[in-house]
Amino acid sequence: MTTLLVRLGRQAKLEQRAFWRNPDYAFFTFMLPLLLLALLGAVNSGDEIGDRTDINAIDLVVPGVLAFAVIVSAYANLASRLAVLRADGVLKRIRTTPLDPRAYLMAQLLSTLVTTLLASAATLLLGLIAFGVSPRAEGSLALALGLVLGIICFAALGLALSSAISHADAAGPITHATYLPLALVSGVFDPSINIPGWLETLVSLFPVQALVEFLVAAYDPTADGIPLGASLVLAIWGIGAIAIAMRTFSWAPSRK
Amino acid sequence: MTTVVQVDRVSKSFGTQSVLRELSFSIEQGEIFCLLGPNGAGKTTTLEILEGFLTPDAGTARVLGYDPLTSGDTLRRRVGVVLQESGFPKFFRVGEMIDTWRSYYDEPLPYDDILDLVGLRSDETKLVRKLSGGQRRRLDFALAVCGDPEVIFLDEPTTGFDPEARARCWEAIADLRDLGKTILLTTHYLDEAERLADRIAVLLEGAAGAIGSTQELAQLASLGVTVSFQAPANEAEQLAREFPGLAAIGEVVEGQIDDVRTLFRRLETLEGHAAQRAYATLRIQPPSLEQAYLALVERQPDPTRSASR
Repeated sequence: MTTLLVRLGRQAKLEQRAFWRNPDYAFFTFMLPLLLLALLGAVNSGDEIGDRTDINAIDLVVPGVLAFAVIVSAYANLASRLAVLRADGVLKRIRTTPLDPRAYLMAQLLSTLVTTLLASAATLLLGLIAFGVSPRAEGSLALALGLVLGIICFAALGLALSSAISHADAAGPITHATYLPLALVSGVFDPSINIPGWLETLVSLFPVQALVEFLVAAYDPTADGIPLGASLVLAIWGIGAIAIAMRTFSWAPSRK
Repeated sequence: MTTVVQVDRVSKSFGTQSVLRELSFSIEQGEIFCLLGPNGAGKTTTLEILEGFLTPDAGTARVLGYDPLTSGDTLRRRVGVVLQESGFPKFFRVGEMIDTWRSYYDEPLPYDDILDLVGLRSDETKLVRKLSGGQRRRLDFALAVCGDPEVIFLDEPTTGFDPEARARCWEAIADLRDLGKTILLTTHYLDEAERLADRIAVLLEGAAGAIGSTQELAQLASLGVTVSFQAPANEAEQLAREFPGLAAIGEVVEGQIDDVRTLFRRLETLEGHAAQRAYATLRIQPPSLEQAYLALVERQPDPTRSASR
């Protein structure tokens, strides 16, 4: 067990180092949410939401972008990275060694966790410094739980999706196509978006809106504690994704 | 001698395409054994079965006595693999890669020995993505030997290389042989097989068409030796008539014959200085692997024929 943990730690450290050396991943994972927040913040700063006087639009933009940071880092980045590693034969090479496959995958997840937490922290900090928006003290639990559940759920989804991507070239388009439309209709970029009732019901079944709802609860003074429905949605998607990943994850590239 | 790799009547199909058909061969300790065949002959499939990536439809494969499918880490600790196509995490440095790979093994080779073996000392701090094709292949070798393996699988290690990179790769393989490693090599380059391998299995349509050294394969292909010598023109023409494989062009006689001894006896009967001149100019060349391979491929021999073992 000690050896496993030592190897896990060592591998995760190396993966982190390699991640930050890759300008593409570093930019899209870390800088994109910050740029997005800066732009959306500039557009929405001072705007009101309906007849509410207790908060401005920017108070809900920050948790939306925070959700975006989690999704990009834990889901899109992990799925495309693993798909590329598989298509390039790197995973197969790893499997020719006696390294415990659990240690390798856990290291990838640990590295993703670190990256996601850093991206989330940077987004929170920018929201505070640039727009004076910070989570409510009563919302701390929702924020912490939302981040933990969100990271686990989306990392599991990323792991599961990676096996469905057979070519490295398709990794980016497939991952972005699976979350961007949902992000648009889930209020990630526009908290005051109005969508038809049927679409709202449909979208509420997906984890993107569940995560947004969770993180908004940390900022919105009218929110009441932990959103249980959103917790359930994230948990179900997370568990389902883990089950799929365990069945479909492969180390060798597809022979197609 | 200890048998290190044993493949016994292994068959494998992908859908309706039969890739291996009752393939059998064995490799002894310290041997460089080559699977030679055209693209699609089943070389990589054979290696992937021995590496535990594929399950044979029929037959058994054993490496160091273990079933590659079920032996897991026990076997992986003792085997090094250079895959045919395999990338690297591009943002790792060469030294980091080697150091990380060493950490996967209980008793790895010393770091400096690995760098020296593959000649990457001056590239230690380079990012992998900045290495040339030849340097990447050497890194492949470095990673394969990190655990000081007893057996090394090399899948088409020089495909796409320029002549200099090939020469360096061959040197590295020869160095591994000198370290006492057992090596299973696949290639479609005849010169590579001839230069490196102790024994060669010619894969034809998924079965071992023939197995043996270059000389043994030549025997299986019923090839004679190539001879050339000089004799007076009239004698040269007479000799060409007596030995159907020979042809005379002026005073030069050359061609392929099966029975060299009969030729020697006949040359002794030449009069005057003719015999002395014939022996002085006599050149005998054993058949090359290329000749043997082409003859075997043309004849498509019975897959069960084997020169040895």
